[in-house]
Amino acid sequence: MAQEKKGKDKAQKKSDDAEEKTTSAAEEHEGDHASAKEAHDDHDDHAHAAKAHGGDHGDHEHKPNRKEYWVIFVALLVLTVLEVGIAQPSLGISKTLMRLGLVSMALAKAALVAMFYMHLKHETRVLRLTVFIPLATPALYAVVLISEAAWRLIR
Amino acid sequence: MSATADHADHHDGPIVWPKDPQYGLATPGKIAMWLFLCSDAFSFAGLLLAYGILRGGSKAWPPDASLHEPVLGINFTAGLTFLLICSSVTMVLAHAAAVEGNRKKTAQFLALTILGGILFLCGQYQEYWGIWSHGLLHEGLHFGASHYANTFYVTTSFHGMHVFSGVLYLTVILVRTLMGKYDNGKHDHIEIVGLFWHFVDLVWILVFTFIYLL
Repeated sequence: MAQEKKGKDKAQKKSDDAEEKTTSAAEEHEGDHASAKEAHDDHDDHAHAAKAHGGDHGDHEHKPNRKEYWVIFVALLVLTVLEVGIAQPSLGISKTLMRLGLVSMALAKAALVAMFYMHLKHETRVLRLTVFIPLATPALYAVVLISEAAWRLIR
Repeated sequence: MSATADHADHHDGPIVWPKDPQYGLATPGKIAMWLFLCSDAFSFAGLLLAYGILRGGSKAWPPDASLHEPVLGINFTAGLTFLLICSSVTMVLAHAAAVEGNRKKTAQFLALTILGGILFLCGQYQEYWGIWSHGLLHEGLHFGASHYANTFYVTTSFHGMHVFSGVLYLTVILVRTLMGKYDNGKHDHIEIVGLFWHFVDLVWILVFTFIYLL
């Protein structure tokens, strides 16, 4: 922080001439960047509003990728058709295999939606874990309680 | 599109939060929606667990053959699943348009998403009560009659309630989009409504598999 304050005046100058012009120019001053940022707080200019929303989501550039969205759409569609297909009793595959396939395909579809459509892929690791770890508990709970209920039945 | 994370105290611009060491640039609103969705997921998990336990503990499903309860139609609900997946696509496209600052396209895709939700609700009405053919109620699936009927109605209607609130939520966001509230890069509300909508889709994917297909 102290370092940033020191560099503030210098950064202010720099930002006025170099950084404003082009993105690449701004990025070259990587070292002064943090302080330049602070210096900019007082500025009220449109370039920044536009800049701030557009690019930086931290470590990961995050721009909606339409092609990716359509690929995921096709994947969801194919999985749904497959699911409906293997659920047909006339197919004659074993019930255990069918159930295993259906559950894993449903979980795969849910994961695709969460990662790509809900942008979890672009979020930080901590946010991903904040979502996934709590959800692992009902899954575990389901395995234990459903097998317990089934076990009491066949006992 | 630069790689800077400047603060913008512009009254008309997006509110840019300082980068958090743990949560990056996720807005408080987005984090709050994720936490809400986690708690909502537990509600659904509770219902699906109850279903799983009751079904796992039954010799047959439907448990009582003498009630002559109807088999759930798969093809029609597969269509509803397709509908929700499509509305998820229009939702991400609305967000993509909002990021690009295209108000008109954002509004169009939001409207399509709402249409998908309304059609889904119509589909559910058809399934329960019947519009062009007999609904499940007419075919003898009565709430309170068996675990089969109860778990089905509670889970699917709870999901339908989410679709309904999603439609209302999306409508509010659509109106605000048309008012120009999300111009100038303030599009995080669109992403947040998207999170809710995709969650509703995600839950339906699971409900469809667990209740209809298994």
